Amino acid sequence: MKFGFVPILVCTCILLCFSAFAEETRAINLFKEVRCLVCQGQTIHESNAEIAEDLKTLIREKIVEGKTDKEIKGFLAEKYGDWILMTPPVKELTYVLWFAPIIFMAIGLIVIFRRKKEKA
Amino acid sequence: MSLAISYIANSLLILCLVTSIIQSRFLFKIQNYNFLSISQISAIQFLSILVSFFILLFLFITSDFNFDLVYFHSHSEKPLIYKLSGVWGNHEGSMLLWILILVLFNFLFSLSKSSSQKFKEITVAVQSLMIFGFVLFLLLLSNPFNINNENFNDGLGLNPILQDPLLAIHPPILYIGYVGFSLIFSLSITGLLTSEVDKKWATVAKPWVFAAWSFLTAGIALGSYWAYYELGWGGYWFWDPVENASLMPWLSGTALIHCVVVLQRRNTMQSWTMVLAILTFSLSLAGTFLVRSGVLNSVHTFASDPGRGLFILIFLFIILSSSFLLFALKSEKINKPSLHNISSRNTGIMVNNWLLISILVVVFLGTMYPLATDLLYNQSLTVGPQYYAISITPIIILFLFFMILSPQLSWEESKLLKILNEMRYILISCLTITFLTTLYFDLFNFTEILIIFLSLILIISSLSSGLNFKSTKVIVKSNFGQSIAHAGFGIFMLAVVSNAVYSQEKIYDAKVGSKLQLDEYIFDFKNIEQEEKDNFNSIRAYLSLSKNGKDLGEFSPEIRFYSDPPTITSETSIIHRFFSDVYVVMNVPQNQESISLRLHIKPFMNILWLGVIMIILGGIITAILNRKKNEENAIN
Repeated sequence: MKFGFVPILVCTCILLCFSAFAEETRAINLFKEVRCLVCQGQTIHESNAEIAEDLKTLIREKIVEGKTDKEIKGFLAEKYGDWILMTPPVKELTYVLWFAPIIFMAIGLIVIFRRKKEKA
Repeated sequence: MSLAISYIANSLLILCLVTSIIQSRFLFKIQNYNFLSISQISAIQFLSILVSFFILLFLFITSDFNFDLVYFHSHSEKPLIYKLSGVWGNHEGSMLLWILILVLFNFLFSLSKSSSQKFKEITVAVQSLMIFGFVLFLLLLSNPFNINNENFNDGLGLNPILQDPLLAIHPPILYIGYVGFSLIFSLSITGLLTSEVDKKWATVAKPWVFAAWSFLTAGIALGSYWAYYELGWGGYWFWDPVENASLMPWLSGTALIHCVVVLQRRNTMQSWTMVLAILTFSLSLAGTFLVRSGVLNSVHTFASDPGRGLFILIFLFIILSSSFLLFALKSEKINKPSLHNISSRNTGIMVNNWLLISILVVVFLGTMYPLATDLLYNQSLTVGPQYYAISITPIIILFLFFMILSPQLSWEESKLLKILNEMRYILISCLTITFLTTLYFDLFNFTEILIIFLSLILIISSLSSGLNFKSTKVIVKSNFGQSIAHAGFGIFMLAVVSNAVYSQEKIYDAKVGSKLQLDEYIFDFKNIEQEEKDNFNSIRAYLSLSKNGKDLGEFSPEIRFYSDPPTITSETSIIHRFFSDVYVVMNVPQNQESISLRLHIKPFMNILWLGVIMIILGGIITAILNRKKNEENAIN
């Protein structure tokens, strides 16, 4: 069993690779959620402006620190405003944005089925 | 010379203005002018605008920089095709194109024989009133024939990002769609005025509404395809405000074409059809307003001029308020009591109508909310693609369900169990296919699986309903257009979901000679070259693509540096394979050592476009089939 450490080493390497890979995927997914501050309508993922690169570095650091996606987004929103997030957070200001369509849809469907039932 | 041309063009516009007033006489019950027939006057309207449009084309071709418009938007060294497309690549020219299509539709309708004389007179009158408004706008606020007194040697060029063959034809096609709905609007106003919104009305309106809708769909698709290969952001739809502005009339237009069918077949849903017709045209107008006024930041914004925005806003207000007032007065008269059962096709179409409008609400809120919070609360928000995905997905699932169900229901009453029984083979086969794909591709997201399943059923059931298989012959049924379009939508949804799940991308800082890998594809970075072209300098990278040792082709992505006006564009390079597109975009180089390359694998893109083409074809087929039927009816 002289080389018994080899499989363990290989497994550890693979695991490390995977976790690095997972972190990179997480990072990219977060990059797609953060708006580039200087370019029109692009995310930092799509941009290679200086500020975008700085933000990418910042997010990578936060991931290594063990922060969750939510914490990182919260941090960014606090520092730069909600504007920086590609998807607006659900809060008082955005209730109408998030819930109006579904309420609108529900009311219409109820009316359609109610009316028809009376006539039938 | 230039002065003379300017006078001629302006006189032609005034001629159109005058004839439009004459045409609108029927609205005011002035009948004693019978020197020329309506179609003859419509021909004058059409010809006057057509000639002035040709004059503008001529000015762009000959690069007459005495005209402001040519000076600002053209350049003597530009290729001919972009000199031509430069005509509508700006505010004034695009307004003239808009009016040209408006008078063209008016002229074509005045020639058509499907409606009664009185009905035609009033429709043409309403349409002419609109033409009057737009020509007045053109003459006063955005005259394309303004002359400057300086002698400029050369023009200021056109935005190089707009120098593209697809973009040259995208606006005209889109405009035919937008403006086509103006005719439907005029027809609706006429219907309301004469209290004749019935089967006959629907029969007259149907080919026009389907034609307009098909063009609108094609226009949006062209824009989307352009964004896909030109912008190189790795997508085909960005929920950009301008894209949304064209999607909104499409959504209500889609609801409208279904209502017109119901109205024609069942003589119900009169009010709702009128509301949709007015809404669709208003949204088309608002789309023009949003795009042209510069309220929304986008590549589409030509010029910011509050005066023009205000005019269209006032115009929109007049149209909306007067047409809804008319609707309020007449809706009682046009509505017939509708008698139909809950499990009838009517219900299905109404539900999906409402779902389309719900999607419209999502798009509307997503587009307008950031503006609203900014104005009211001074808080900026970004509404990105994720918002639309989250909000639209549940609606789309319901929508697909009713899209499968409705065509199976009869107009009177249907038993749901019986339909389930009839569809059992389709259901079982689709369930099996979905299950196998799920296993094969390791899918585990329930929403995605559900959409794939529903799309599959939709494709198969739609195709089988449009064709009749009889031992040796395949008979094309009258609902062939519908079946193609519905199957196309299923294919489209299938591609959208698979594309979203299986897209891959990676960014490399690469040096010449290195091999890059994404999935099973190997990108061999061979060379990089600098070139000087006529109106730009370029850096071009050369890569070859291979998979499992097999050579698949060459990439040559490019960065262009235009000098006039100074702009940098990135040209993507795409290899289309049957099941996926592979493409490479180069980022602007920041240093000498390495080049930043973005590699994308976009699966099912071909299939996505196939779906879109089928949707457009379905619309065109329905328009043509219906036209033929109308002519036959007229003969009988």
